[in-house]
Amino acid sequence: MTFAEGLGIFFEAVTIAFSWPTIGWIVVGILVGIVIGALPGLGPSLGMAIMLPLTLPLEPVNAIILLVSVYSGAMYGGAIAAILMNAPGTSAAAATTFDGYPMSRRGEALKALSISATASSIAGFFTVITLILLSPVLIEVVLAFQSPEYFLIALLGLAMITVISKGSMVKGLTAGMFGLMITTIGTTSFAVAPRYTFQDQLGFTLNDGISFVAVLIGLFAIAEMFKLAGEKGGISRGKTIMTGSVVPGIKSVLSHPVTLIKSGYIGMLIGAIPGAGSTVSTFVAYGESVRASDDPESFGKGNEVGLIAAESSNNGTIGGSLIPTLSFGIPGSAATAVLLGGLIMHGLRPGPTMFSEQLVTTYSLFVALLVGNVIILFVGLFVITRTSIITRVDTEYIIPIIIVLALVGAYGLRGPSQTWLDIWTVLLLGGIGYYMKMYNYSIIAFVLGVVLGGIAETNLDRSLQLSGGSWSIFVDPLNQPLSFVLVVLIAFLLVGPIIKPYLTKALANR
Amino acid sequence: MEHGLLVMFLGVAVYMFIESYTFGERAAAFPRFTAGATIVGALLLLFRSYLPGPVQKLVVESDGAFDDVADEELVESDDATGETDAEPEPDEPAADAETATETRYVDLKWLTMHGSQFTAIISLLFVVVSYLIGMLWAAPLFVATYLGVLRRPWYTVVGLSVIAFLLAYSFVLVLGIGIDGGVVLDLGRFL
Amino acid sequence: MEKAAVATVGLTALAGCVGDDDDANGDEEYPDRSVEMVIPFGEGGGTDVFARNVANAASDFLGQSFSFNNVTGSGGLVGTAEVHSAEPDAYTLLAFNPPSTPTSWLIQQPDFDIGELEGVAIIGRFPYIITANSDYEVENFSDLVDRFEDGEFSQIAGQGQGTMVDVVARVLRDEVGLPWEDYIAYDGGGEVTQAVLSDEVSIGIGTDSGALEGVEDGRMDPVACIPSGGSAVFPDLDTIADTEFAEEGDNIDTLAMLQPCYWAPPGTPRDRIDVVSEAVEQGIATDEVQAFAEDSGNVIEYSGPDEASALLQEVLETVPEVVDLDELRQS
Repeated sequence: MTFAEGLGIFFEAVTIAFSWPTIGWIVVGILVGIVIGALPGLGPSLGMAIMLPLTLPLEPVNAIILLVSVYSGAMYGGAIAAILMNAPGTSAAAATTFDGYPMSRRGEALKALSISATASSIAGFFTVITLILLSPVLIEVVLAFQSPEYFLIALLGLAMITVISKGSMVKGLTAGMFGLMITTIGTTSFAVAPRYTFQDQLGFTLNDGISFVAVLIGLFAIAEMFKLAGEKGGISRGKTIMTGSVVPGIKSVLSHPVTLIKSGYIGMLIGAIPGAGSTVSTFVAYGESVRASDDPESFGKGNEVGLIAAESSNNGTIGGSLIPTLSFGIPGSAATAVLLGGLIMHGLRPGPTMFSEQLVTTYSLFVALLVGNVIILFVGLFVITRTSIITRVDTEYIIPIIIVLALVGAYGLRGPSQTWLDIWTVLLLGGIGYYMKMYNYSIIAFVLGVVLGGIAETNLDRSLQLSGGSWSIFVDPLNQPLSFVLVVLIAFLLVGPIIKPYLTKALANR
Repeated sequence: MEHGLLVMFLGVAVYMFIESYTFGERAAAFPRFTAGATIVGALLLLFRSYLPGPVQKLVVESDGAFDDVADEELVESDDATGETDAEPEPDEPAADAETATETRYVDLKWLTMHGSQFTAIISLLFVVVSYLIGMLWAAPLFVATYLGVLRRPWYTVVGLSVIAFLLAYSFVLVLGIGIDGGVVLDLGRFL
Repeated sequence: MEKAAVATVGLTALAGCVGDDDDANGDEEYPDRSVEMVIPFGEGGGTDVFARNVANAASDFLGQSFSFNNVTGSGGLVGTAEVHSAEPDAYTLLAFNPPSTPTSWLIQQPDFDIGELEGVAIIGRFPYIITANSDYEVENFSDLVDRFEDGEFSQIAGQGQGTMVDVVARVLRDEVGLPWEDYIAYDGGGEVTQAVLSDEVSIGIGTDSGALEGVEDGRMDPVACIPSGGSAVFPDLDTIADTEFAEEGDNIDTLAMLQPCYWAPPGTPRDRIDVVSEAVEQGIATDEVQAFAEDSGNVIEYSGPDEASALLQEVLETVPEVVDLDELRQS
């Protein structure tokens, strides 16, 4: 295909995306997505699953565009509850709470929300444009990742514990290990017998393990509500007044172009890796922004750079995650799995043809994402920022409503047999999270453990099975160069902070 | 209470460590490693004051306050970014860092408890009542009780209870979850 | 719960799936309200898409819509257990695809008898095939066996441990003579495809429609269709029975052919099952369903209640015969 042909197809796609009713479905999808994403516990996959049967009467292209718009809207919407009430609905939004919520507590909710809308939409915009240009190459990148690399990517995420968590290293590691340990409950793909399921007493309840979304809701939303209940006043304790201006937020994003671009691309690239990608990408981008900062201590306390990193990477992830789904029908996350179902339901078979004969469809999806990002920007800046008023309301009114939302959300997470398990998980983890915060145990480390445990374990086991039990599969620069690079990167992350002072000292003495 | 947390970590980890010996070799490796590491970490933290100096240094850190959102950094960060276009308002109640973290107590007439403790207990009750009569009906009761105990104006009690019910009901409509009835009382048919 | 079901129907009605045209079936009692279809796997998965498409077409002939309820967990056993104990009035039906869920049941031994479920209809079939990374230019099944014997290959990829694919792999080794040494388990069919495409494992077992993308891309070759029924996706592909390694009617014919079916709780009256089954047959014959079949590369074909029940019994008898369940559980 020549460049001119590609351009022609692109303009055809633009025409499709802007035609009626397609453009209407983009708006509907984004708005529905934002609302669903903003509710604690409801993420993109659930939102898309709800919409899936409703797309049946639509044209295939419109149906898929609607689903992708819900995906994009929900990824952005997750930030709203994360910033305002420390209640993320997905692991991607968890990284947003790290600095977004402290900003709210400081009275800068409006600014945090405008940063989130600006960073999300700009990053969404340029990563999708990059994808349109680079999609054939990215397929090769996706295939370069195998089980050893997935394991190492998960390990890279876990290594971020040392970068992100402050204070006692032993506390951080213990919290992380406890999180990892929880993920071993239930069945794994490589063993038939379920573990720690108390099958005689509980039947199937624990077979599919503890829901990590329930853990997130408990650790963040409920723990925070317990904590707020012990303090007078509103969520915001700052003295800044929330004026109607969104300008400082936009300015803040634009004045950190490096973080914005770097995090967007980290999100896109890691997001393209099926399985590990979409869960790890925001943590890696966030960790990288902490690492690159001159003032790592200020992260987690409301540093705008941290928020920009988290928000731009999570929208970058969307475009990236579509690549393996469209090219090989390999969904990398729950959300893309539902999208895949939608594609098949509408007779659009994913595969290489999506990048040849079906290119118009693929491009119209991408164009729809571009349009969606513009909508996110406007809605985010001019509508969503109004919700920052919530942080001024006395928490007495907010606490019971959030607890109701969190628990009702937990009720709908999974099937009936796990309902009460999920609700007790939310409540129990709320208590544990409360005390962990009180005694300065890193919640972030705990979350990383819970999110990455499954990926780490199955891929480690599989790698060792593939290599016949030899660990050399991870450090074989000739046959597994990518693994080798990742190992070096992880080593650098772990050892870096320890040798840095000595190094600076040595350099200073010269 | 920190000891309570650590003992909980330790207890769960010890159980999972021992139980892992009933699994196959491959299935046991990862849980045994994570449980083992949790045990070591929890023990180190439990007995940190008895540890020899150099080891202790690794385990102990400058003890953090409850919340490090740091009101004291507020002024500094505003200055640093120079982007906050707002003026401090003198009669803003939260203006003073000291008042901002004032503890909330709940007065139950015969007993006064810490706000967090009260919220945890009433949440627990909410879940139990939800199990009995369905979360849809328990939600407004929970909100009303919560605000009632805190002696909020009646119109906020009614208004927020209605909002809680509507929020829960929207979940029933959209997700079709069965929260409209519990084990002892099923009011779902009246909807 | 009542209200919840009604709400879902509302959605379905919105989606334009209610066909209230005249009822051809003569049964004036059943159905007078919508029928709940429990899908024990997630939204958008293979079982879900298949079951919904066919049921939506059937609802036009049933005169009532279906409300779908995805009850996931434990390889489909959670939803299956729920329907097993449901009221046998044919207002609660179930969709799963033997031999997958029955195999999970045999392995996990929960305290209900899956064999008591009443068959409603078989609605299609898709065979498992053997795929190879195209760099190796595996010619056919006997070439593959040779190269496994030579030690060029030793590993084979499949979905899950203790699953029907694991069983198929063991039968291929023990009864057909494909001497693999390590079975590498992946979480889903997509992951298996990816492993073969990226040459993490050179040989894999997967469904024919799942392999199509990789084959079209040129990075993956279909080597052989495992059951003798053949593949609609790759009509020219040899089956193992076409070689000297197996014969028609061997165990792999049942075990390596996924057959989506609908089920009813034990004790459901036969006349009601017949009503649904007939509607399903008519639904499958519609142009929409056949167009979906063609687009997705699946075979959608109707067989009646007796065939479905017989299939279930056959799977439940065959699996324990061909593999040692205890050994499977221990892995």
